[in-house]
Amino acid sequence: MKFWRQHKDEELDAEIRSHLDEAMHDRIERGKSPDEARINALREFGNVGLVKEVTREMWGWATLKQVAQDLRFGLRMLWKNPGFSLVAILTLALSIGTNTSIFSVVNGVLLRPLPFPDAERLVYFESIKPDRAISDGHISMPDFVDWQSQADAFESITLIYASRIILTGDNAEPEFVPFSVVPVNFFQTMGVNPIMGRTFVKEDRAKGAPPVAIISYGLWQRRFGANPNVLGSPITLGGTPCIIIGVMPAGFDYYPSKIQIWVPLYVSPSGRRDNRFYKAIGGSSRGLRSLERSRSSILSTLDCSSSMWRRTPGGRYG
Amino acid sequence: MKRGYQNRIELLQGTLDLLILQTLQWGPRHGYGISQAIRTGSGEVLQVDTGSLYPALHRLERKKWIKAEWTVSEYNQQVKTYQLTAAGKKQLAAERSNWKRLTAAMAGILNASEGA
Repeated sequence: MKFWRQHKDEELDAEIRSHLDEAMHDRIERGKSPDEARINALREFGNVGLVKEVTREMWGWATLKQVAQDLRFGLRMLWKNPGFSLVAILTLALSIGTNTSIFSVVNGVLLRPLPFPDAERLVYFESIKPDRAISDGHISMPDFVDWQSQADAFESITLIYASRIILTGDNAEPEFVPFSVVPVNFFQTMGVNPIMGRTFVKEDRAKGAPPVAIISYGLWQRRFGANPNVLGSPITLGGTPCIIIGVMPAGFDYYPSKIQIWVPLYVSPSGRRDNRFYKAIGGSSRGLRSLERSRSSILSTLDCSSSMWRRTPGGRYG
Repeated sequence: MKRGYQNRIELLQGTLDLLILQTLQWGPRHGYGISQAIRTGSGEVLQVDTGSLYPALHRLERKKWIKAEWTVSEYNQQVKTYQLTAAGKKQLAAERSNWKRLTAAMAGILNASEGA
């Protein structure tokens, strides 16, 4: 593009030069001296630079050059008024920065899809007290046991309980990491398989069974240096030594904080019904629309005494 | 020929286009030649500014009503010569009839005010 423009410029130069030559020669024909002829021809022509410029405008490229010129002018003016420029730049920087941070949070929390296959089929249970405006998603262990037996609409229902715990052992610094206690069917319900090892089985939570843990991809990379023989290594969680039995794939984490390690949950029907620690997640084989349709039947099936559940499609929290 | 300052008649853009196309009807010319032809053809009345002429020529070339090529002039110089294209000829005919209608209309109004 630049060479074409250069070519056109040179051609225009030549055209105007030839115009002046022709005018000069005409005058010489009529008896003028060469010097006088040249001067008169030039005078009659007018302002060569100006003519070139207005002619170039016809080419339609002047816009780009004009934009560049305007830009340069603007920069000069900014340089001349430092106070104003500073205020303007700071305001811009602040707004851009704020917007960017808000967007990244929203993107991470709301817009990014869940890292589970077929997130559409996961349902997040919430219970709402009719007299309160606030919804509280937590249920208790006895609720969970009931729901497990009652909810036919779902292939499986599972729980999550997230907290933080101290990791020690294996010559590395102690870390305070987010962890989660989950029932045996958790990984199945989510539909994700470990990249190494296995997930929990019923035996793991039997009384007297050796404590086990599943670690996240990030933890494996970071703390164990992506060691391929990490399975069977010990790790101490909150003072309890556990054996690592599996590694989850990268990206398998969920809001609010990135869970690094999972341990099996001991599910029992005992325990207080009002000890609401857990959040339930249901995995359904059916699609979203059929779940919507059978909503009332699900409601009646799930015996929720003082609460009413509101379906929230998988893919969004809240 | 020394000339004093002359009152150059402002030519409307459309009018100049018409003049250029008309001038080229009699054969190809270069920029200087066109301005000379218009000057002498109008009896020294219409003297086209180079600042108007060259943009007009380049605009008409973009519109493909005229096309340019480099030839040798009578003074043995390389000159950029313009000639009418087929589309240009059609355009010339259209503009001539437009001009006729315009001048007839003008005459009608100007003469009518005299008569009545």
